[in-house]
Amino acid sequence: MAKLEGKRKMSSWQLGLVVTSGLLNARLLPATSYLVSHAQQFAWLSSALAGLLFYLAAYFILRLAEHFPEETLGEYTSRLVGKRLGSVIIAFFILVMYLNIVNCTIAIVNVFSLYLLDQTPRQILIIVLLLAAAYCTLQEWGVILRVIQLLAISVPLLFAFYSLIFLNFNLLNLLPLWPDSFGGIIRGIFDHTDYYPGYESILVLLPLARRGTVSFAKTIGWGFFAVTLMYVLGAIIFIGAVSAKTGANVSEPVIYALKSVELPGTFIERLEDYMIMFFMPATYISMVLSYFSIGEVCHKWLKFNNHQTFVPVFLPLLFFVCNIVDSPEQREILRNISMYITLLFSFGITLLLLLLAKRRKGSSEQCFIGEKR
Amino acid sequence: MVYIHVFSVNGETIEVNDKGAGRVKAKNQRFHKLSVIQPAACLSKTQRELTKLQKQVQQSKEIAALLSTIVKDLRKAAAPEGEPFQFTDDISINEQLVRSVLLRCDDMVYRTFLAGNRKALLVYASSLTDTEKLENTVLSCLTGRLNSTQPLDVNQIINILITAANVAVVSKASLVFGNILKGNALLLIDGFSQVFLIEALKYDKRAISKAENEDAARGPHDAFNETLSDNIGLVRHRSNDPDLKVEIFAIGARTQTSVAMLYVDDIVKPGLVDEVRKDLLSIRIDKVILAANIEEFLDGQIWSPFPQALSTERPDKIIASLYEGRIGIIVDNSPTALVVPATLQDFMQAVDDYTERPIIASVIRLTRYVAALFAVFLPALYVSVVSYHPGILPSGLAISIAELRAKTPFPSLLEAFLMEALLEIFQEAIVRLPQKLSAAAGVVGALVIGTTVVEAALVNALLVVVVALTGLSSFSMPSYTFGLALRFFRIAALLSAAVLGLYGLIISAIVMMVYLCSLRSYDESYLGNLLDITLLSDWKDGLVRLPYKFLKARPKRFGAKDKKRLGGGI
Amino acid sequence: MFYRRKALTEMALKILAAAMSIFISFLTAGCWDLKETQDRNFVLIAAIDDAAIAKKSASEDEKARIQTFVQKYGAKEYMLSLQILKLAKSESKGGGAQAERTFVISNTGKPLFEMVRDMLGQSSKSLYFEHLAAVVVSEAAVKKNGLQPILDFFRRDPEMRWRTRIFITPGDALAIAKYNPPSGEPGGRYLEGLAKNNKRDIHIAGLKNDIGYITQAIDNGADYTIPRLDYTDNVPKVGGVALFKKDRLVGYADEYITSGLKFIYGTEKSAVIPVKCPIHPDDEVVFELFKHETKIVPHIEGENIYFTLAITMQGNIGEFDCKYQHNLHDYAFLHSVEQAIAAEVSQNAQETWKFEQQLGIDTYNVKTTLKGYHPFEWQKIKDRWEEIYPSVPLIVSVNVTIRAVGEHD
Repeated sequence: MAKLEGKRKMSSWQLGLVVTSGLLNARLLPATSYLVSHAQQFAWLSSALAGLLFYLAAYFILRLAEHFPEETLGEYTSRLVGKRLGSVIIAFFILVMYLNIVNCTIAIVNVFSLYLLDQTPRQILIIVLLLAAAYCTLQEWGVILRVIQLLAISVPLLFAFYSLIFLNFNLLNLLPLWPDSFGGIIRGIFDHTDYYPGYESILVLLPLARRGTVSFAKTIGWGFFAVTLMYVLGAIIFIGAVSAKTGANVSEPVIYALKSVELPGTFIERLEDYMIMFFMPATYISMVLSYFSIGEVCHKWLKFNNHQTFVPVFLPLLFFVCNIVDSPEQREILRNISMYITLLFSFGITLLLLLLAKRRKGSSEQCFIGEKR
Repeated sequence: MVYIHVFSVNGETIEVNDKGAGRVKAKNQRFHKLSVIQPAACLSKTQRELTKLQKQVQQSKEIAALLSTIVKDLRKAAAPEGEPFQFTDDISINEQLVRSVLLRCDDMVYRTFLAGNRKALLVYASSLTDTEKLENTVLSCLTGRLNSTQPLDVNQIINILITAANVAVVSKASLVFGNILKGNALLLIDGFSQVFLIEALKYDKRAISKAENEDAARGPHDAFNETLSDNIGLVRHRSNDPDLKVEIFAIGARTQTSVAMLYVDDIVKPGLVDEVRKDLLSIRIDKVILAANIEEFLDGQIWSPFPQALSTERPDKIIASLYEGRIGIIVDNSPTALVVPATLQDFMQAVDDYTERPIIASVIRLTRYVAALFAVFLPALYVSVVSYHPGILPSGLAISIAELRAKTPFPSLLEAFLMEALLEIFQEAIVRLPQKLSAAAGVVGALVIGTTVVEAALVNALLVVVVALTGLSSFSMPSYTFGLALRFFRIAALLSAAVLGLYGLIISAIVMMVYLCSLRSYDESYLGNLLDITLLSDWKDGLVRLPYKFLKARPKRFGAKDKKRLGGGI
Repeated sequence: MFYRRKALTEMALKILAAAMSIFISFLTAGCWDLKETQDRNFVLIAAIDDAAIAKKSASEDEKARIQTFVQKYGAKEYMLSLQILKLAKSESKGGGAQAERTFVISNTGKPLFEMVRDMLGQSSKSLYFEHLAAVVVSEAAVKKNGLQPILDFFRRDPEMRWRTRIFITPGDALAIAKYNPPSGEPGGRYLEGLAKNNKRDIHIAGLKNDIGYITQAIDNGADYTIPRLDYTDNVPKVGGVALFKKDRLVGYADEYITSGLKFIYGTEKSAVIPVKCPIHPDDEVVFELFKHETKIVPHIEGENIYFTLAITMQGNIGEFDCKYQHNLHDYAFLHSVEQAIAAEVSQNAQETWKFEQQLGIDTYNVKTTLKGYHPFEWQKIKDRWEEIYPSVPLIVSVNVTIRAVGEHD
């Protein structure tokens, strides 16, 4: 059947949605206890500042991508910095995406096995989830886009459900309005790598988007704004409901917070179990998007026919690492590694590439278009 | 087995059976086979002769068949390419030629008469042709009216003499037989190498009646019947739009069934008509009996349990679809028409949504979506909650469920399967039974499921409620085919919930969603506009239905050329 | 190229589908977490006693020897009794004594989790705590090692609920676990119901002292209260509270102090407050509370630290027991009633405040309030807080509005 459909490319609003709907996912569950232990009752301030910071990173990435509107990272990097260094950078990008999938998987599987399925082997939960993500990634981009749009509705629903903890809100927990240490708030900002993962996929997604009247920076900005707003409000009601001290003492604070809610007169009890379910689609979006980014960048970089080829290739790799990282210590190590790598990529490598691209464009248009130096 | 052998005993002939013969033989050696005396009575020899004869008959038949094909080929050699033969001036030869093609078709009538002084022959199928019409329009006009003194002209005959409304003059033999077998009459007149085809169709058909499966409370009640011309008429009757095009193809190498493709030329999505036409013409099949024969060739994914073309027996539904920029396909002899492309929303809409008040219709439609979710996930939810996570229930409910379940021996999965199987069997039984008996079967089913199974402590009462609700939910789907697809997915969800509890349930829901997203009907996403940002404007007639005042744009999802509903060029 | 690409996709899909179907068929072999509802023993009450009560008499001594296990570590410090729901429906059609809905199993030891697992030797099905309705701790058990070692099991396992009620009993918790309410409800659900009546009974402290709130209080270094449950001879009664400082049981407070606590918290939604008739002090007027808001604010003026408590109450006249007829539509008289109520509430709150100061405990966590409002001053005085606290005054202002006087005078 021939392709009749003209709507192969996504609109700029769709790009904004796709990039930002994957931000909120299960990775924030373990991260919240770090954040709260660092920033105490000022977690909301950290979230707000982090929102700004990560939007800035996303903005620079977008600027870089817009220098090469019809190409992905996989194509122009080697032209910018040479083949060998280019490969390293692409590998770095793949690593960032890869770590996002691993972290997502571990986070969601952990919370499921802690609260709902404690006897089921972790491997089973991991492989089922990875297979489900791979199934989606094996589809064409149009299908993936559709899936993400559908599942993205779960994010506002998740937040609405989560705000039920407002029933236990106590303003006293947010006081005093003077932090014990400002360092904690700053440290809290960097804990947010788990809150804003995967926006690097812009580098791959931009050629799939159609330039409309609204700029990408604007749509993505709105997305970041919405997510940051959710985080800030979420942090305020979280601290208000369970207090910073308790939040720092539990392993999955966001889930735990829902335990405190009782809705008398309704059928619903144990809201934390429902909360876990709400995290599933949100996490799935992030996983699929990162998985697709890996496939797409390899497809363009290694000049393969499609991104699907790489999905089965990475599946065992993903399973292997998810399976290994089991103890709290290993999880913490993995978390720190991912944090540093992500920060390095977002604030180091892409900025460098952006500068290079700007210089190149400034010096000579021909040279920029040409294949090699 | 009893063999009868004939023995001669001292000149007398007696018959005994095989065993008896052995005994008698041992006593008396004077017993002999009859064939010893009379060689002609030898059974085996006769057998051999018979086989030989049969072989010869067979061979001669083969030779006859071969000869007839040779004759056919010889005739073809004279005829132009693709024709079985060519008509000659001589009516007797022509008759022979026609008879040779319609060999052993005993329902054919050959009526010879004299048209003036010329010999004429009328050939028609007795079962399909209206003889009265032929008498009035051909026989009474021609008999004796023609004389050789007048200069004869084909045009004269049809212009002056034959009074039938629809007459065609053809010289191609290939056209003739298709027409005869459709019910038209063939007229041969001596001296002409051209022949006349006279329309005199008559056959018993079902009158236009109420829709059997999709009746609406307030909508129109006429529905398609099995006649293509009537069905096209029903559609045409509803719109006087010259842009409503009807293309008719003959599909099926042998049956040559007429299949009509309907579309509105200035609305339909560009390229879609060519695409569907190409698909229809490339169908390689020898018979088209059901509309479903065609439907399966139009599906993008043949293994999908979901229907990818909307089938309906309501002309109003077809016309509404045509004006959304879609294509209707009507197959002769089939009371259901098809609409492509079809999306999930179409299967969830009923005509009553458009006849009821918008706000009521919206609530009903939303209920239907909830019912679809119930139909797929309710048993799975039951199993996962009861077997894996009774903690998420309120304590009082959990305790009462545990008390109910304590009396039944089966694990919940098995219990659910048992009930599912019972439900499916009853559904099947009631659908297959004649209407009068099905009510009785319904009573038996209700009694058995409702009370006995619970009293026998095979399943608990809660599960009966769950399964009954699930069953009712899948019945509430406006499209039966779609309801069946939901039933298929229910089992998948049940299994995954039985293995991994709520985790399995939610993963299966996500995978199902991905699957639905990957389905395409003529490249339109199967989920239509459901939560698609670029198609958000279609929401007005999606999950809800707004008043007609607001439905000014055609659904974007079908890519209609003319986006506004309030006329294009006028 | 188009076809090649297509082929590759389809093959990959097919391989994945095959892998998935194989995997799923393998999955069906193990349903790891599958445990049917009826195969779980619903634990409704967990009662914790001092292990010593197990050996009160000779016959019980023998029983106690069975209901325990040999331990390498830990000590025989607690006795844990679990009230378990009977699932077999009692066939009590047509009169007869009310069949018991629950039974009790006990064990002695120290880590609670180990005891629970050892109890599987007494229970046919696995013990299932997710619908635990109440935890009853005896005074003796609490006094041994404090509350924390007892509470830990109930807050570490994610199976437990936050809103599980907890009680302190001066007597034996075991006896309470064995209680069969005459209503036919399971005992645990009955106790939970009692605790939920805190909204209507001013003497039951119940809202801010379930396991979740206590956990939170411990995390924040606050003191807390736990409702007291008395039980003798099939008569349970919830009333008054046990006061805890950090982990330690400091003492009990009677119903009057409990009501004072609730006035300060502002958790009271439907209390009944009797006061003296303003004109005839021998008789009583009963005020029925509807709406109640409180606000406690710390103030620092130089070296002076004090708290103000503003209470707003609205309600009805619920009962007017005066022997003499009063005109309740006389607004001046109504105002005098309002003032009498305000004075009573204020008095109650003041006495409660003083009572806590004497014991040196701080259940409404005023020090956090102080820190919240005055973080810098708090830094200066936080080391001396223990000395300052007993003398910090509370200034109470109560505003009472009577909205209706009832149907018939």
